[in-house]
Amino acid sequence: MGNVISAFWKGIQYKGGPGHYAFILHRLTGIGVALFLTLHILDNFVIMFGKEAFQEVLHLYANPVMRLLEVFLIFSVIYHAFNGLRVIIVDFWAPSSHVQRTLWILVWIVVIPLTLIAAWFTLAPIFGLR
Amino acid sequence: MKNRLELSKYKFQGGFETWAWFFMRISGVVLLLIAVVHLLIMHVFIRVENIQYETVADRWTGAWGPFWKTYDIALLIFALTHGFNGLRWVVDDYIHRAGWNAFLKALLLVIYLTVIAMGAYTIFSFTA
Repeated sequence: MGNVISAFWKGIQYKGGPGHYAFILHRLTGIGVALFLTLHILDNFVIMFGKEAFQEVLHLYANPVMRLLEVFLIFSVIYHAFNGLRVIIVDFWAPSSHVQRTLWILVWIVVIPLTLIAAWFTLAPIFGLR
Repeated sequence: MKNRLELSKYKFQGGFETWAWFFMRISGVVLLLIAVVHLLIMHVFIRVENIQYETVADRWTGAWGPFWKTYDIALLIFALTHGFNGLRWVVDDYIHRAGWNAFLKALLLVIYLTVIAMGAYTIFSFTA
């Protein structure tokens, strides 16, 4: 366990700077989405037990706390997708490694509005809006 | 130009890890399209509060059923394979003790196969 913590701590302390923070966030969002994905397939499996059982599961997702987690999920998927695209561009098109900081800013220019729009649609019903 | 010359030193040699690396790029682009569209449909167009049993049943058994079943199978396979290969890399990065490393990766493989089987079973055998 000590080894794991020290390996993890070294990972966090490494150099810093946009590329490193992009990497840490890519990892965290990736792990989060993978965990939700597993849960999501299990919840879909419940449809095999009939309509009532499935409706009950769907009902769980309507809960305000779940709604908030959904916003995190949406942010994670969108960030992971567009930062992943940045990684691919830098991997396959060498000259772009010189502008990877600019690309990182571009990622946020895409991610923030998309997350806000999705957050509005997800959270508004809790407050009786929309 | 200098960059291109430096990179040309590295030849594509194949092997499982190289293909895994390559798969992450390809599936990443595919998922950028199909996972984000899935999210958009469910959260913005249909909206989560409107999703009922019928929403899912109609999608899979309606006129466009074969299309959505194919879409969902693609999403299942690409997303799970991408996600669990990512988790495998995380284990390799932080868990250095050989026994724990092998145990956790075997556990990931078992969960991956089980969940993919459950998902495929749901999509293929669902009848309204």
